[in-house]
Amino acid sequence: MHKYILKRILMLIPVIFGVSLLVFCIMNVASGDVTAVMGAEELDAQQLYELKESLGLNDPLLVRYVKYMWNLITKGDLGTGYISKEPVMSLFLNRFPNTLKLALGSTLVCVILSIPLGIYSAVHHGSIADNVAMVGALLGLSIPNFWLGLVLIVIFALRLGWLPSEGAVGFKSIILPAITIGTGFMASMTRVTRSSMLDVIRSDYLRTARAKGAPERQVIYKHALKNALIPIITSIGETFATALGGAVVTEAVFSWPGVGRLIIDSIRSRDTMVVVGCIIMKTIVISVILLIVDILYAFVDPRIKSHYARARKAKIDE
Amino acid sequence: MSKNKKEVQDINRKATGEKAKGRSQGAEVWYRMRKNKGAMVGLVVVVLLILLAVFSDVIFDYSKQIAGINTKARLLPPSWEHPFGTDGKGRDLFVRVLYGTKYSLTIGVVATLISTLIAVPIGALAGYYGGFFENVVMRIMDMLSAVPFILMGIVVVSALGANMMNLIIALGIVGIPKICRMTRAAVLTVKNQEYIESARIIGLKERDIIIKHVLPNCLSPIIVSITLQVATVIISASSLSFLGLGVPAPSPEWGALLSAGRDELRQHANLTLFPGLAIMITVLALNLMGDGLRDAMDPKLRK
Repeated sequence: MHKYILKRILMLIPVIFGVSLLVFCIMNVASGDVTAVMGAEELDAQQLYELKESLGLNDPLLVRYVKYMWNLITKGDLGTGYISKEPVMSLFLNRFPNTLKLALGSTLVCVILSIPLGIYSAVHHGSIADNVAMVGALLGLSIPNFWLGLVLIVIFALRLGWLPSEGAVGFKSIILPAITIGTGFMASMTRVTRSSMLDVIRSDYLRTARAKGAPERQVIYKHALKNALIPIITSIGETFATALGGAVVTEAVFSWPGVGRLIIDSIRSRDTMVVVGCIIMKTIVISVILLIVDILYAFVDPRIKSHYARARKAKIDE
Repeated sequence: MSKNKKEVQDINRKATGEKAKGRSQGAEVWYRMRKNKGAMVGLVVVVLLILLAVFSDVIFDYSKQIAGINTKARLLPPSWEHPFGTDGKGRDLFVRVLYGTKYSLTIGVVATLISTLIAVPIGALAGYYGGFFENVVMRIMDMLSAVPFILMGIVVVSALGANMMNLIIALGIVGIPKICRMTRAAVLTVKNQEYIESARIIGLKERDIIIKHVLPNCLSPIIVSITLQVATVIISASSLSFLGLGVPAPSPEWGALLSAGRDELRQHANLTLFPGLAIMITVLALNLMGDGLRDAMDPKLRK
């Protein structure tokens, strides 16, 4: 088991280095001469050289990358924004709680809506309600997130005036963006719930439970759901990770002050270092969450655990 | 050998009194697909959209109807004359939305084509040969997919510059890992089958084995994931255009239309409503078709 966890953690390292190298190089090569956006036209050659030197831009790209990563690992420093002139790490940490809040909210919306729907569909397999739920799930997958956001704004903020259309002040402001993102993930979670419930419902031990006279409610919620839970939990973890990463457009629609909007704003102002830093941090956070989900999965699923236990036993036997 | 097989089949038919009937695999899939109402609706809509996209320059006059400005007819509400109303420059939104099909479908199809052409060979080789090469390929795919799809798209588009060509390239690159993984997984299930071993024993070249025997047997999951990928790309493309990182303003791409309509959200919600509906219908049709294909091609579901 420890070996499995260690292996997964080690596999994460090349991914993080690869991603950061890729993003760092693309953004730095493509954004061209950063000093141009900093109002450096009026500087003479000597001043320009000094400005570049102070930003560390005179080194070759790879040297800059190595320095950048070294600073990140040893000091948790992501450099300073060219335009915003603030440390990127503190910009990121300022915005991250908002993104986290929104991700939690939307995962919650998704869980509340899709798990009961999935269970109902599976229990009433093949019925009209099941078909409607499945088409509905497909519809949720097909609606562009940002459009749903705009429609919700029109209805609940502009016409009815119940909820604010932008910002992140108070509980009310999270409702619309959370619904927007949460319903987008409903499709997959409903399907996962439904199919893993269907797998379980046909099993022998449910027939046994029914045969011994357990009430239907208890059969479904105690015997079936508990055994169907592993894929559902994985799906929740993945949803949460995706919500953390993919909320860029929704954050833009609702002017939600999260990391996604910081990235978009920084791309507009060509503040390359902020974009690079935020994307690297987001990638690390998402990868770590997915890793935790995988490890939890291994803890819960006896098959993976036994696989490693067997391997160890085989070694001892040798 | 094939003659023998045919004779055996004929004997079997005579024995069971069955009429000579045999469907090719394609016909079999089509037969099962036709029974799936949702998939057929999806297919019809997709075909109509393709026709609309192909002939849009014949049906509409770009300079007049799509880009032409008519200040007298600004921001009209939906009516018989203008079913979706008119936008801030007096252009008929209905016509513009219909014309926008061309952009979304082109982006979706071409970007997916790019991902497929790169991902399928790499995935197939990785799956077939395994070993070090496979490991390297899969770690690179892990890397590419560790960054969320939309963020990676934003990075590539902002690096290349915001226009339609770059948007297609960006979404093409970003789509590689999914199709590559799918292909590899499919090849892994096929490569240890007996018929592949037979092909190797009779001395076929590795290249021929992969192209003629491995890939055709992996086709159904690949086709399904390609169909669904087109849907994903269309949504992502319109999201990027919405953020101003896609097709630039005068072109009636759906995301760009939505972004333009956003400024008039309070008074003229129709400008936002209809382009979004167009995206939804297109993506829903593709998803229905993809799901239908998956069911039709899955041998486990054969009755």
